[in-house]
Parts: sequence; C-alpha cells; structure tokens
Amino acid sequence: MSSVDILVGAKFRKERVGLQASENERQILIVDDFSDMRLAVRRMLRDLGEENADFASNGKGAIEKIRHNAYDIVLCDYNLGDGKDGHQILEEAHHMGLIKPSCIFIMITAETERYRVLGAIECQPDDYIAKPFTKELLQLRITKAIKKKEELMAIYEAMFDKRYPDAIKIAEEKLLSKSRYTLDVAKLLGSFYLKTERYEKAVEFFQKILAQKEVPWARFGLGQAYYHLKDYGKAVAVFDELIAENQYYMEAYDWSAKCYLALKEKIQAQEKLVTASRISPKTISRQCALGELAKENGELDIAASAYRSAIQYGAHSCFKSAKEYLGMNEVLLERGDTLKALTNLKEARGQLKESAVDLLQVVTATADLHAGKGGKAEANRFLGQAEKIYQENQGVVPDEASLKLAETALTLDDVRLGSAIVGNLAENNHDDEALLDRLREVGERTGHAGELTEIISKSTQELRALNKEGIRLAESGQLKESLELLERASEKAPNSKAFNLNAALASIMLMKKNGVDDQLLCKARRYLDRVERTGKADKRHAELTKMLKSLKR
Amino acid sequence: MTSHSSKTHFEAALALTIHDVKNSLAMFLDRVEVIQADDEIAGKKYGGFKYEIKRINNNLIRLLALYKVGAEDFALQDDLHYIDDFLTDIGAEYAAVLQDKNIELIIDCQDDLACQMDRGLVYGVLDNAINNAVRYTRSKIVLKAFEEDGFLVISVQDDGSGYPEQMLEENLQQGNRSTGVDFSSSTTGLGNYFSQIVAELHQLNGKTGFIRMTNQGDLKGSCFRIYLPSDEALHIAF
Repeated sequence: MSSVDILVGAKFRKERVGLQASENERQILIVDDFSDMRLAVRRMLRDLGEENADFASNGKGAIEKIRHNAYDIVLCDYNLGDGKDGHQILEEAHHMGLIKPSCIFIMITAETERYRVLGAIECQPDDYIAKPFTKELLQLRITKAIKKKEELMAIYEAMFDKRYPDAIKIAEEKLLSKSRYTLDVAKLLGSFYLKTERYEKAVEFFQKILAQKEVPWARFGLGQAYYHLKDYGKAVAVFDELIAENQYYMEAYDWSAKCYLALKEKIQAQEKLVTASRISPKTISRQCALGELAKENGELDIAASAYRSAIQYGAHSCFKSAKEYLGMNEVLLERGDTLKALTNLKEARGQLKESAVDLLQVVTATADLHAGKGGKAEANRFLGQAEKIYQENQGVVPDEASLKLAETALTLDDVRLGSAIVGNLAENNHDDEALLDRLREVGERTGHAGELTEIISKSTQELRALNKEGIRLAESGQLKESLELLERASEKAPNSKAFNLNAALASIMLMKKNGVDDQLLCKARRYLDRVERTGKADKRHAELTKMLKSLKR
Repeated sequence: MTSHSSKTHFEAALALTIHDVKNSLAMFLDRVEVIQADDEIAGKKYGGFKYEIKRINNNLIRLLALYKVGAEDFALQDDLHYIDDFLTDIGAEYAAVLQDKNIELIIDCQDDLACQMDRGLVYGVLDNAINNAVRYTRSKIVLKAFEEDGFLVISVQDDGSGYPEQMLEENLQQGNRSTGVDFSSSTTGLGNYFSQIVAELHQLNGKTGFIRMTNQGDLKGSCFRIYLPSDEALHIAF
C-alpha cells in the first residue's frame, strides 16, 4: 500500500467547495439551544457551500422539523438545556421511522467520550464532533460519514425495511473482504443474528470476535444471546463485568436486571435499575421497569419516585404510555391515597388523549377506582366512555386491555358488555389456553363464572371446527375451498392469529400452485398485517412474510 | 455532604463549566472568522486569536483528562482507530491556524495503519505537541505515523531550533524515573507530564507506551514521539 502525503493548510482552501460536489442541494438541520451557535454553524455550512439549513432550538422543535422534512444531515447538540438531550431526539426520531437510512446524524458534544451512549445500534449517531470545531473539521467529518454511508448503504436500507435475512446476507459477504468498516459491519451483523433469533449463531459469532480481542459490544451481544438461550447465570456475569468496566454502559444495567429477574433475585434486579436511573434518569422504559419491580418488592417509595420520573420525562416524549400512570395508580391505591390516585388518572387522560389504546386503559382504571370507592354512577360514566373507545378501536386494542375492561364491566354487573368482550376475546384466541383460563378466572372473581364458561365454550367450539376443517381441506389439496373457509373464519375473528396466519398460508400456497395473483397478494398481505397490528407477530409470521416476498411473478 | 457526593458535585460543575467555556470558544472562533472574512488586514491582525483559542481548548481538555485519569473509576476508553483518520482530523482542526501563520503541515501515514488507543487522550497529547510546534517552527510541521518494533509511533516534528538542551536532559532523567514528574515550574512540564501519563496508560502484551523528545528528527527541529504498544492481531479475522 502506498504512503499518502496529505497537505493540509493551503490545500484545504482549494478543496473547500468539495462538499457541494454533490448533485443535489443538501437539506440540513441544526439543533442547538443557543441561537448564536446555530448561526455560527450555519455560517460554516455556507462557507462550505451549503445553503439549505433549518434550525431547531429544542427537542420538540427538532422532532417536528424532522417529521416534516427528509433531512440529509442533522447536526444536533447533545446538551439542550432542560428538555430532551440529543440522544433522546435521535431515539424518538428512529422510533417513529423519521430518519431515512441515508440521513447523516452528527452529535455535537462539549466533550466526546462521556456522551458516547452505548444504546441500540440503530439509534447511534454516525459521528460525534466536539466543540469548538472548525469548518474544515466539519467538512472532513461529513465527507467521511458520507463515504461510510455509501459503503454500507445496502445494509442500512435492508435494516430500515426490517429485511434482516437480506441484511445478514449482505453483511456476511462484506465481511469476507477487509476494510476499515469491518468492525462496523460485524457490529451490525451481530445485532441481526439477535434480531432474527439465531442465538446459537450469535454466541459463536461474538465468541469468535472475543477470542481475538476484548470488544464491549461483542461482549454485550454475547450476554444477550445467553439470556435468550435462558443461560441466565452466564448472561448476568457478562453484563455485570461490562458495568464494572464502564459505569456508563446503561443498557448493561437493564439486561443485568432482566437476568436477575429471570433468576428470581428481585432485590438485585431492583438495585441495578436504581443505580442506572441515578446515572441516567430520563429513560422512561427503565423507570417503568424499576417502578414495577419496586412495587413487587414492597418498596413503595422507590416505586413512586420511579413512576414520577417516568411521567415527568414522558410528558414531552413519544414514549409516554398508560404504563407509568397505571403503575403510579397502583402505588397510590396501595398507600390508600385515593385522592392523589384520581388526580393522577385525570392527568393521564389529558396526556394520553391522542392514543386510544392508552386512553382506554386509563379510563378503565378510572372506572375501577370509582367502583372501588362506591361511586357507582361515576364508575358507570367512565365505563361508558371506555366502551365507546373500545368499540371505535376494535382490532387494535391489545388483549390485555380488553380483558381489564371486561373485568371492570362485570364488576359493575354490566353483563352485556362484559360477555361481549369475553366472547370476542375467546373467538380471537380459540387456541390460546392460557388466555382462556384467565377469562374463566375473571368470571370467578366477578361472580359471573357460569355465564362466561358458556360463552367461552360456545365461541371457541365453532372456530375450532372451522380451523380444523380448513386445515383438512388444505391438506387434501383443496386449497381454494380451504382459503374460502379460513377467510370466513378470519372475518368472524379478525384478531385471531391462528386464522390470519392460516389464511395467509393458504393464499401463498394457492399462488405457488397457480401463479402470483394481485388479489391473493393483497389478501395475504392483509392477513399478515392484522397479526402484526395486534402485536402477535412471531416466528411463523416472519416465515410467511419471507415466503410471500420470495414469490416470483 | 459525604465525600462521594462532593466529588459528584465537582464533576458536574466541571462538566458544566467546560460545556460553557467551549460554547464561548466556539463563539469566539466564529467572530474571528467573520472579521477575517470581512477585512483581510484586520484578519491578519486577529489571526493569532485562533491559535490562542486552540491553546485554551487544549488546556481545558488536558485538565479534564487529568482529573478523570486520577479518579478511582477511571477506565481507558480504548478502541481500534485508523491513524490516517485520526491525523487528518487533527490536520483539519489546525488548518485555519496554520494558514494564518503561514505554516505548512504534512501528514505522512499509510492508510492501513490502525492502533488500539484512547482517542480522546492521545488527541490531547498530540494537540499539545502540535501547539508547541506551531509556536516554535519556522515554516513546516510533519505529522508522521509508522510501526516500529511492536509499537505504533506518531511523531510531531518541526523545523524550528529544537528543544532547549536543559529540557531534553530533564526529560531523559524523568524518563528513567518511575515516579512523579515535577511540573511546578512550567506548563511545558505539565504537558510532558500529561503525555507521559497517557502513554503509560496504554499497555498491551506486557508492553507499555512511552514518549521520546529529541532534536534528531528529519527536519532538525524538535521531534516529539509517542509510542503506543501495537499488535498485528488487532485486526479481527472473520
């Protein structure tokens, strides 16, 4: 390899227009809470030939801007005062699918190392740049980031579309030749093995790396794989070692707590989350997990403070949910503070009014609360509201929320609503014995055991027969008849995983036999979408999705 | 207040202070750029400001790094880095300063050189060395990286009149001493002390990093070298 002589200084001036060499004008967003700084960065960009810069001064503004513009480059200050920090902006934008794979996100920090957040791989910025920086450095970093993006684009695109098998194939091929992005590719590939549940392969892969060199992300991946293989002892050792080496490795705390929980060592699990929340208090999911754990451990003060933080930081975040409010509700009720509990749920109804599923759960809890303190009229009023939300959102309400609503209705002796929901749940889960048992338990707790048992057996019997017949027809080669029957069943129980998957399979098999057909393609897609929408997507769903994709015209 | 919480308080105060000072430096840099863009004569007059900004920043980084290295929970943030990436970054940061002072910078590095290192700390060391070189050179600085006997060497050379003899002697003595370096007399001493600590934090297969300061470089001026233990096996095979 030849030696390179790079003249810096005079030559840099000559290359100054380098950035603009791109055919299109780049859209750039500058996020900083300090207006002079925003202007300074824009001036640098202008010197580099970039005229299209937008501004945002805080997290909320940044998310709004990103929502409405497909930026090519985002230059985001990490420390934005009291609101969201730069990492949270990136995390939320990713969560909402707002960051296209080609977008370059550069985090600006006061001091590089401390802020390197070792979080989910898709939520990491492309680069960090420390203040104060010169325009020459900014240009160089952007150029390098673009080069890396181009080099790895096929992988990023597959990852963005969640086409993990494709992503794995491309990454494995890339690893065959050495380049300076080898480790980046390896890191991505490891995460894909985990995503596709190839845990044994993941263990082998990470161990191969670790045998050669100590790499924290490989060690972390190894711990995750052990956890999924239910080897909790090995997993917890990995995570605790990572924490001992780097106390800012926040995700290692979360996983360590998960392991301790699996090992039924709830106190240790709680301690891990307490430490993590002290170092990094803004993560809502962690605060919720801590609240739940502390509540189970009888540590109501810790639980209350965790839920309070979750509510506080969630107020301006897309990650807010009913979870933290309902957790807080239980803590307050356990303390006997009904008044505060009512205020908490009222606040929740205000905060969550945009999200029907969350609102439903909070309104149900409000009805429960009133019922518990004997306010029957108020309780019924909220039950009515909950029913309305439930009816308007059939198909997206998770079973858990439906079950809660059914129990509340039956507690208030609204047998009509209660049994309708139970019947619906039974139809949609005719093959899920655990859930059916829970429905029967609701009957026992609310004194409606007899009615519910009857409804459950009636709802499941018919569907069981339909499913059986559908499978029989398919097996005997009568695919068309099988599909017709499964379709009818799936209209009757639109949230049923079994019917939707079977109907999708029948459509795919028909196309395999008779060739691809637009109508059948649409049908298969719709059945698979239904399963995904109800949050029941599993391995079989993934296999069918893959089969559908591989159909050739 | 317990000693733990006062440490945490100090750390938080330090982080906030640095954040604030760095914002000020960035604004200062911006103003100087504006003046230079508007008026060439004034630009020449204020050109030296950029160098001073780099010095303040370097001091700040060094102070924070020394504080962290001394802390009980210190851990080296080392990772595999491509040296040409690292050196071109430094070159880009100095481009404006060098132009103001009419100094030529040459980076000499093969593009497959990589090393396991704490980038932030080694950056502080090179920043310090280049800061000195900018002050004492006549016209040229060479930043060079190469491998030598299991070490990755990065050198900063200039064509000035070299280090004073007395300093080289002191440095030689200190190099033979395993304990503390006396830097009470000068900031140059502080820079060397810092560089030595950073080098020694880098250890691999029983080898420890070190620094060398001589006047025997290709350019006949001062020649600063940091030796970081290196290993062929750094590249992971898949």
